[in-house]
Parts: sequence; structure tokens; C-alpha cells
Amino acid sequence: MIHCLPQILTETAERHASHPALVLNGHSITYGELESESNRFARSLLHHGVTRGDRVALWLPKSIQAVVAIYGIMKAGAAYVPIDLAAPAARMAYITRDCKVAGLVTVKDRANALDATFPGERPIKSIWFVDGSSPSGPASHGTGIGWETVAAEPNHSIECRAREDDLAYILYTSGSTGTPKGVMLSHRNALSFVNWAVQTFAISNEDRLANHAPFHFDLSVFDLYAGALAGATVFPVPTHMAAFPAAIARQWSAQRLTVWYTTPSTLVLMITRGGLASLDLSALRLLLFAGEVFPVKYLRTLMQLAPQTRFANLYGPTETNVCTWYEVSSIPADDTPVPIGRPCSNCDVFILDEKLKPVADGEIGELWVSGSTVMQGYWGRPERTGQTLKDVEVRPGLTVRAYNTGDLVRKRNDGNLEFVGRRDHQIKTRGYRVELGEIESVLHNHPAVDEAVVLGIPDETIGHRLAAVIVPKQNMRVGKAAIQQHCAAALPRYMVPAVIEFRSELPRTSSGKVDRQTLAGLFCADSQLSAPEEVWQEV
Amino acid sequence: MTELTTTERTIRDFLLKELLYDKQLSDLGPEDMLLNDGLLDSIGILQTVTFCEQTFEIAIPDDELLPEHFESLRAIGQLVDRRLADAHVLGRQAQ
Repeated sequence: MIHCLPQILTETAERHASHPALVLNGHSITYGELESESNRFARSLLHHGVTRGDRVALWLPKSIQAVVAIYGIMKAGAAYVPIDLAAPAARMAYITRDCKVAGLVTVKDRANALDATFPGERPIKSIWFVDGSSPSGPASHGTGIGWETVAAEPNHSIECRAREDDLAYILYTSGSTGTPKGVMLSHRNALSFVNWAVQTFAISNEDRLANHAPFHFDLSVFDLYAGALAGATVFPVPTHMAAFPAAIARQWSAQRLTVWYTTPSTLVLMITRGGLASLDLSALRLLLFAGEVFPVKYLRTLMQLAPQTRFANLYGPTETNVCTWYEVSSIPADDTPVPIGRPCSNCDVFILDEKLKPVADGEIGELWVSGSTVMQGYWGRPERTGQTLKDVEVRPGLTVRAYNTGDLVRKRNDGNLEFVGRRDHQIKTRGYRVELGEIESVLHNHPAVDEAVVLGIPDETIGHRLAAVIVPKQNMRVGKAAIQQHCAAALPRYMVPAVIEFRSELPRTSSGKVDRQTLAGLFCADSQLSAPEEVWQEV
Repeated sequence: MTELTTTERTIRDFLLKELLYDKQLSDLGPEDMLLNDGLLDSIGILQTVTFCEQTFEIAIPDDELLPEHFESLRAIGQLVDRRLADAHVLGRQAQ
């Protein structure tokens, strides 16, 4: 019986020891080897004091060793905390401190960045370098452990220290109050989703799965673990190739991958600039997309290019894994957005009004989710957890613990749910979820900024473009470049506003609040008036 | 550090101003790897392409959008110079 994610690997390694588990950059590793290598890594972690319930961060490009480390961390009973490689040092430092990591897995060329991130201190006890020996000098701060030391550990089976309700991983997402928040997912949460996915999409060991999502993005949970549960082969896209949809599409076609799971932004670029129309897509049997709304005109093109392929829209914030899904069974006739569908078999969903009462069918309300895939809470933030994860009486006499997605939805006549929008200031860009409040909070920390508002301007390719409107303090001068530099020092690239506008004051509503609608209208009107290339440069 | 060509300097100034934000000028050498840490995403690559196409009056076809042509300032500069040379040859043939 499988209770924990690494047991998936152990069982598959018994059944398909010589079957390739991962193929990356011309290298591959079989399930048997992945099992053995992750046993070694788990032992190395245990030898250096990592214990059940600890957290171990990952800060490295995609590699086979990164996956070895992920399984090893979980076998040792710890949760892995993947950090965006492009995140600025301040964010990396915040995350490692916030969840008090016991160890870090990284690569040698990050050693200097570590010195800059933690000058003169040793917040992380042990640091593993997956690409050879540990660099000498202050870079290692805590104990530096090279990969050759890991390779010297015995590789025979090791008892998995984790239990099903232990945390498997923590994924940090944008937080509205100015700092990212760690979404805690247990083994049970992840396994519930993975079991559902393998069954629903009949993933088998003959499948060849693409993995485009970085490991800090929750789409990777499907790629890694549904792939492993089925004994399929997973083909991670190397970090240096991730920004080239044309190259990715060509490689996936040549590798005859059978399952693609990625964001609509990536698929749109594959269609518009990736030469997808000229590629052989005959091996593609299943295409899953998630993370944002897929413009129907591009979905239609894609479905025409791959008529034999099964298409499905998967919906769910990081906090719920995937909770609803919709199979696009025929090419949409008009441009009505594809619905987010019906709940997965392991979830219940409720559409509630502001008083937490169910709305009538067809009316708009907030989507609440309960079930085995729903997170344990936010790391170290019981108050925030309590605001979104609540006991709700969904029917007279029936109270369930449910998560408020904050997404506004409506139930259509055919029973499918339709995403309508949001009441708060959360948007999607490039598939990433962004709290505009987090960016505003960073802007307010700039000494020359008096007021700042950040808006998401709808964009067909990337979901939303970010625009900031800033009122500088009296007698202070500040420019676009300085503001962007300030943001980039604290936020991931995709959260740095591309458009910065300065004003002497902000428009207000009659109640004195900033009139965001008027501001957004100005930007939308601007973009319609601008020449396309000018808009593009601002993206 | 190796001297930057005019093309490389123009591209570097664009990258620093519009995409890399926090990099100091001295940080970015011609051979520095731009893609290893995910600093440039797919939209950033397309912005770079659009900038080069407009600034140097060249066309960069989609099948040239490959990691090896964008891995460093030098690689992007060489791509631009190659397209400029092609455009020059085509221009002479047209005459």
C-alpha cells in the first residue's frame, strides 16, 4: 500500500527496474537507478542530521540529480521546498528563513550567490552540491557536501521515514501582504491527486510525459509522480531551453512524447512563434493545460493540428492541487471560454455567497473546495490559514472543512463551472499567480514612493501585463529604471511591472478609495491606441 | 574582459534597461550565460527579438529562436550580424 510519494518510486522500481524514469539533456536514469540513488541521498541527509518533519530547500537548475534529491528528501521524512532559480537573493533568503530549512541542495555556481545572500552568517546547516565536490571557502557556510560523498553512501533500500499526513513539499506563492506564503501539501494531498490523474487519463508505462513546469510550480507534481506511478518516462525540459517554445515543441515532437501538460501561455507561443503547424504531433495522445484561461481561438488551432489528441482543462490553485476538470471533447464552435468543469472524484466544490450560504444554480459565488487534495495550511501563518480554510455548513446539518479559492464562478445549465473572475487583486501572468498587493507593498518600501497601485492589464498571450501607477513623494524624483531595479531585488521577474507610470495624484472613487477601474481603463485604452510593436515592448 | 562590439553593446543596454533590471553594467560580459538561471523567460526572448528586428532592421525567423542563439550577448550579437550580412547580400542581389 502506498502512503507516501517516495513509495511510488520504490514500487515502480520493483516492477520496471530497467525502464527509463527520466531523460534529460541526453542523459537518462532508470527507475531502479533512481530508487538506488535516492536511497543514497536519503542516507546522506540522515547522516547530516536531517530528520522527519524537517524542510530541505532546492535551488538548482533541472537535472536528474534534482529529482534524485527530491525523492531522497522525502524518503528521509523531510519536505522539499523548491525555490525559483530566477528569484532574487532576498526572496531566496526569506523563504529559507521562513520555513527554517535544515538543508539546501544546490549547484557550485550558486555558491557565490549564497555568499551574497547570507553575508557573514550560517543560517543553513548543511548544503549539498549536486554537480561534484563541495566548493572550498566561505561559500559553503554550513557543512558543504559534495556529490561524491553522497555516492559513497550505501544504495540498498531504506525505510521511508515519512507518514501520509507529513508534509511532502512546500510551494511558495505570492502573498497579498508583501511576502510570499508557503503552501503546505502532505503526501496524502499529493497522492490523492496523482491517483486520480493516473486513473482518469489512463497514464501507462508506455507513456512519455513532458515536464515543462519548474519544480516550484505545481504542474510538476503531475509530471513527476503520475509519471512514476504509471512507470512512464518523464522528459524534463532543461532550464536553458525553458524560454524557447519553438525549441521545446520541436524536441517534444522528435521525442514522440505522448502527454503534454503545460500552461496556455506556452501553448499560445508554440502556435504563434513555435512552428507547431509544421511538426509531427501524431504521438501526442493527451494534452492537459492549466494555470490560466486558454484563449479559445488558439485552443481551436491546437485541436485542429492534433485531431487524435484528448484535451482537458485542469483547474485548481496550488492549495487544492487539481480540484475540477473539463474535457474538451470537440472543437469549440465559438469563442466562449472553456469552463473549468466539474469536481474531480476526490473533491467536493461549493459555490457560496459572502455569508457562506450556497448561491442558486446559475448565480455567481466564490468557489470553495473540500477533499483529500486540499492543503494543510500556510507555513507559519495560522491566521492566514484560518481566513481561507474554514469549517463551512454547506447544507443544513453538513459541515465540511473547505478552502476558499477566491475565484468567482457560476454553474452553467449543463452542470459545468465557469470561471468568472475575482473580487480581490489576484491575477495570473504567464500561468503564475500574482497578488498585486505584494508588488504594491514592495513599491511602498521605496523611499521616493508616496502611493502605488499595480494593475493587471488583460493580455491575450500572457494572461495579464503588470502596470504600476506611482505618485512620488513631494520634491523627490524617481525613474522607471530605479523602480524596476527596486522591484527586481525583492520579486521574481514575472512580478516586476513592465509598465511604470508616474502621476501627481491617483483618481478616487466617491468613497475616497483609489479608483482602480478608471486606472485600468486608461491602460486598456492606451494599449488599443498604441502600435502593436510599442505594446509588445512594454510587455 | 573582452571588448563588446557595437551590436553587443546595443543589445546589452536593451537587456539591462528592459529585462534584467537589477544587473549592474559591469556584471554582464559578452560570454556570460543568460539562460542558465531562468532570468529571461519566453516573453523576454520575444521582446529581445522584436528589439533586434526593429533596431537593426532585420528579420529573425521563428526557426532561429533557439537557446544557442540567445545564450550570451556574443551569441545574440552573432545572430544579428549574420542576419545583417544576409540582408546585405539580398539587398545587393536585388540591385
